[in-house]
Amino acid sequence: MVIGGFVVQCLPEDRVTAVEDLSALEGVELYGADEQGNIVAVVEADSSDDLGEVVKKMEKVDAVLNVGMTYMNMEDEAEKIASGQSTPDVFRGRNRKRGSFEAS
Amino acid sequence: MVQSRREFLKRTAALSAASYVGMNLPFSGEDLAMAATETVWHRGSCRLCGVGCRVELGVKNGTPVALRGVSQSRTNFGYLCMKGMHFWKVMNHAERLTTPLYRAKKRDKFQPISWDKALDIAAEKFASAVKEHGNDSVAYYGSGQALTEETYFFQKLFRGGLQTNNVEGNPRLCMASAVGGYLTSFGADEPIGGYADIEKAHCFFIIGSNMAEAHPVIFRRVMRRKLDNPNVTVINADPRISLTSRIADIHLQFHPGTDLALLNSMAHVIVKEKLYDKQFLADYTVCKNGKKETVDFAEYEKFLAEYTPEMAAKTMGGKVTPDQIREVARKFATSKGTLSFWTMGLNQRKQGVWANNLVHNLHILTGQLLKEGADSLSLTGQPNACGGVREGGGLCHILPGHRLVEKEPLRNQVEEAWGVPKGRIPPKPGYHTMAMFTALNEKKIKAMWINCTSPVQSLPNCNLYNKGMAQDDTFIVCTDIFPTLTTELAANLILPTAFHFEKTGVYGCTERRSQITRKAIDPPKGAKPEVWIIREWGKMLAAKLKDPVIAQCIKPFEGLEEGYALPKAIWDEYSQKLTKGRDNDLRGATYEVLEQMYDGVQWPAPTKEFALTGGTVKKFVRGMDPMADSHGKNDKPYQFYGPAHPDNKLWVWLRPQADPEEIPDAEYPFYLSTGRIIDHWHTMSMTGRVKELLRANPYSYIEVNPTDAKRMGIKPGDMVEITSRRGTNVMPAKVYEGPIEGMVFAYWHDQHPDRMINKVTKDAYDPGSKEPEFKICACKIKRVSGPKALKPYIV
Ligand code: SF4
Repeated sequence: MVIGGFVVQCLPEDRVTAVEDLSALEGVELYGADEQGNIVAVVEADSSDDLGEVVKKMEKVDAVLNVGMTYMNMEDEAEKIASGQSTPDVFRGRNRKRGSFEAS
Repeated sequence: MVQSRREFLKRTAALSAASYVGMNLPFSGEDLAMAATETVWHRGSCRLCGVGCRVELGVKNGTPVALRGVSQSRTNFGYLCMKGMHFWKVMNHAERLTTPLYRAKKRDKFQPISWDKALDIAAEKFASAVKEHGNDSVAYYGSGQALTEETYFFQKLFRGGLQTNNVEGNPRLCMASAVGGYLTSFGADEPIGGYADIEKAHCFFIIGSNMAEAHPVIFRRVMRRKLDNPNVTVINADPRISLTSRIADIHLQFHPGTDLALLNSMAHVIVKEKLYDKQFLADYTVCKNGKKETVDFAEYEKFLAEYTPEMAAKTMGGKVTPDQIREVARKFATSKGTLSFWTMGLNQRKQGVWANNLVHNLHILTGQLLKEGADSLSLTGQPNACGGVREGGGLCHILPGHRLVEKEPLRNQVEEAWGVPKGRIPPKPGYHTMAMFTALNEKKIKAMWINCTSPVQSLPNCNLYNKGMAQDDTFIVCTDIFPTLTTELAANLILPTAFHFEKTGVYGCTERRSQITRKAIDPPKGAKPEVWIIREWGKMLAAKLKDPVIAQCIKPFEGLEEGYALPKAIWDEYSQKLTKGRDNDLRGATYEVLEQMYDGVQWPAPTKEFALTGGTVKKFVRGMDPMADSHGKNDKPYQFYGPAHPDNKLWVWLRPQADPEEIPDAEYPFYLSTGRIIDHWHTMSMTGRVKELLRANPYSYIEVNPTDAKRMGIKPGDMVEITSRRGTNVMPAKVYEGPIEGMVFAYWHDQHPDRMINKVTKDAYDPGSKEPEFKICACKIKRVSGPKALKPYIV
């Protein structure tokens, strides 16, 4: 489970449409919106990859100018990073095995 | 009330976001009772860019699990960009280096060795180089990402201990021209104002900077200002239309390298239409045509005569109209506060210092300086280029506290502070970066320490210098947290270091602001903070060279615990002894004070009381800057006490339009420029290991203007070969109305040998600042095939 906090920005006059469109997205929960066009949103997703996908969808909403992240919690994933399960799939220059850089 | 953990986290997330925009939610932080027992929050700075955003790292059971912005911080008010939000994921990464690795020859395989053995080898190699080849056969090459304590301590040991000024760092590649510009125009390095001017500005002049991607959180503030006040004007001047241009009212697009004509032409309009501030000019300025040659204003006017808007528009390539130049000049001069921003587009140029001077000229002429909302503000690339390297003595010609190496009384002050004999620091500046790597090619450097940077990828025309680094004639130590192309190609010895939040120290960002990050978790077993490494290495060096002065350099730090007490003692020495009375006086910014502040202290801050107010928001202004009062020469409101201008004046420079080193010709018909992308940091050794960031931009591509693409038969995604007189790359094309016709643009992060654009860039450099011209060279392009499936590449 990954949870992110966001301030989404839209033009003040677009607030109502932006709120409607954002609320329709799965995983997005809105906590408030003000007259300057600031919208407080929380996104919950299974993984940080999924969170990224939701952010992309938010960015694509017509009335949205900017999606600003302010908070991220991903305690389940922290373990995966440490164990190497969350390492990106890349091509390695020396084709070295993991561990060749670590103490024997 | 019973809350599920999930609900609790969501509410925490909502509260954090709401606090940034001052929104009230129907629940408060106190309701979230679980907070205290679970996650412990540690305040510090973001590790990545020069904006200096303040963050809090959430640690649970010794493991980092969350990050949030600090809403009380005057740098970011809580906002973070995506890469900042993710930087902490490298901390517990499985690929962290955790043991010293050694190989005698650079073609050998690395073998793990103990710390004792590693430090002994490092000491032996440096000691024997000094004994056999002299003091200048050793060198340090550091980073604008090292903590101030680290840069300061390294340079102390090299200058005071090993008696060489071969102390350099990668800020030479990004900030040196800005330093040169500030010193020659204002008499003192670093900006007069800061970010606080954004919310007061009425006109933004953004030139040679894609701040939307390179400084996203500052850009957000500019955008907010513009959205809240539609009358605010944003002018963007750049050969490439970028994400930054989105908020621009006027975009001036021109051929790379012709902006000196633009800036002079704006001055031409300002002078011709008498939009300058006559009283300000009379009180505070002189005109200069060379350091020693002062000329009068009429002479300056004569110099500007040829830069008519018509002439400039033509020089710039014809996309800008003379009337646009007039309009921009008028807006710049007459707004209630004009704030300029630039970065590498001006700095990484053969005329880098001149370009900086010409922006400063516009501010000086119009008096758009020293008042609210007005400043000439160079954005820094790295988080501690200003603090550690510019202020802490990290370049070959400067000692800590903005002191020039070549001035004997200043050297003596440093020697006295260190308790080393007078004359210990050599009088000659060391090699600047390009000279240092040239010396390596010529086998003049026998032992080199590379800290926290990867020159194999980041030097211009890197093929040439990589030959020298790969030779076995120079023993190279690298201190880093991950393998890089430099550890792979060049290192004999790799020493694994502690990362941000695994050690304590200070970063100084763009706006003269020093901010502390305290150790929050232990480094991975086997990794050590640099300050410990330097001290232990220094002890062995002293023994091997039988030199009590080297021992003296580390004596004040003997026996101190490395996570906090050691860096604190180093900071105390630096701030109390070396910045005392200097223009970057940091005596008030003790650890104790810095730890109390959400966002640190802006220098000068000579006393604790003053530092606790946040320090100096505007330099040189009586009543705001304590040094303007203590160093004032008369009763005028502005006092330019900077060390480089004995006349205490601002200097308006006569700097002509001049071509870049290489311009397109029949054989190499395109301009090539390079830059950053939002998701990645420098050579990607960190951001390439965070999957969210890597996936967002897995490899570099070349941006080609649609008109050029059509002419060359290039379609989106096609593989394109980019060749200069120095090297070749092959990467996918992005056909995009970004670069001006006749220009292509590539990102420089990619580590893959085919896509390492610095093989293609040019190593000509500014004669004053010695900063290379990464931003402009000539190349040819050719479609080689249709789209190909590529895999990202991290060494
Ligand atoms: S803008 Fe820079 S300092 Fe701020 S969060 Fe992003 S990378 Fe970090």
